[in-house]
Amino acid sequence: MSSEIEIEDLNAWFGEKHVLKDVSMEMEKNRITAIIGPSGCGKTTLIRCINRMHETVPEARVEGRILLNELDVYQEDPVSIRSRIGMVFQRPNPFPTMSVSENAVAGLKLRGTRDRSVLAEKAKEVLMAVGLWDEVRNELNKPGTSLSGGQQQRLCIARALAVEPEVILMDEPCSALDPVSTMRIEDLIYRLRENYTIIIVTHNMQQAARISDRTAFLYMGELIEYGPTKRLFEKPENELTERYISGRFG
Amino acid sequence: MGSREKFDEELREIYRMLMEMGDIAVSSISSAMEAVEKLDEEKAKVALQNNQKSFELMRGIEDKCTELLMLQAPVAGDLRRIITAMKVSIDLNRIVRYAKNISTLALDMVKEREGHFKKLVGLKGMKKTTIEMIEKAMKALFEKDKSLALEVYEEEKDVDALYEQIFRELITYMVEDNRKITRGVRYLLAGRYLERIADHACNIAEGAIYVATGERISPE
Repeated sequence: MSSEIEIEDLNAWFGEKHVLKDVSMEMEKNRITAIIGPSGCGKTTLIRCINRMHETVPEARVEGRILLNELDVYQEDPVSIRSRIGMVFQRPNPFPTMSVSENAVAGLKLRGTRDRSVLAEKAKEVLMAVGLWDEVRNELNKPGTSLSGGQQQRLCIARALAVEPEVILMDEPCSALDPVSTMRIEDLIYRLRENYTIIIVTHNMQQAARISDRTAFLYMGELIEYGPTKRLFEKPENELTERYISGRFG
Repeated sequence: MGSREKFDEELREIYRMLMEMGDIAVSSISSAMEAVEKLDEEKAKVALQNNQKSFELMRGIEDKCTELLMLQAPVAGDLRRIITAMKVSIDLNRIVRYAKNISTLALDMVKEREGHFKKLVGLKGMKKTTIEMIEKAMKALFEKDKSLALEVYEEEKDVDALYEQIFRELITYMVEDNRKITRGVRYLLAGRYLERIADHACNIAEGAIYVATGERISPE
């Protein structure tokens, strides 16, 4: 089941530093929402607030509400929220001591699933979902870190899928990849929207334009403009958005 | 120089070329119609020569726009300006080709060694309005002025009305005296070409509105 996210008057701080200011927006179910903006504008903080990772940083603080299918994520157990809202990071980070198949189902194992046949079946299912199965079916016992960068990132996406999240957060998932791997990940993200709600932070404007349904532009912690991607890239309403996406500042 | 500065410079050059095409289009219509009015062979040749120059500018604009699209991945206002420059250059080149057709009519009339059998008041009116339309549409494009662009659509109605009037009048002349058919058809064709030029001026106005606002308006 995919989910809808509503953010209401979200503010976030690192100590005294106010990094998100009164952000309110909705992320639609089964849609890809891209978050763009210059470095330090609060993109990553925004998605880390969604799955309650922001609060794991010392002196970090959050105010406001984030609803996952009308359920306030800040009133729930953070561990349960993080299993419903998965995350894929900038650099592929398979667990170095685990094999390909162990990596794929690491989250599931952590949640207590021990049955080997269940784990093996799930590993196959998620590796197939990310288009990796045919490439690694004979290398399932090799270390996850032995794969190429693009394969490792797909493995990390498979790992996120294994715990059956409703939402997947992606923090610049292609920034460390070559163009071919990037296109494969983009195709995968586009396919995944059928079953998941996806929120992707990206520095790559063309990537946001290519794959997302809606785009949000953040600047200095404020949500400047949010709307359908095609409209935002063809005729942005805000002068600041136009200047940023045209490469005139940032 | 940063890539955006280079990009801005390239875009300015494209619009400079577009302005040159606009000037060529206006001077071509003016010369071609003067050639018709005065049966002047030299004036007719001006529009014929302009045709090649206009084509080369259109190709140059196409090449530069393709390069910018390929290398700079423009978006928003930049993208709208580039797409519109390509489309407007095609419209302007078509206008110059219609002016060339009018010049060819003028050369045919010169060869016939006959004066006009009527005063060309309607055609002169069409010429004046179409030139105004092109100038206004180009100004709207450069100044991103939607209301000015909308005026072009209004003027097109005047051109259509004048063409209708010329058409009826010439049919009457030709029915009354069949020796006037050849010349009458040439006047009609000149009117028809001016009417088509007015349509292309409207396309330019449409581009101006797209650049200014991102809206695509549909002609009636």
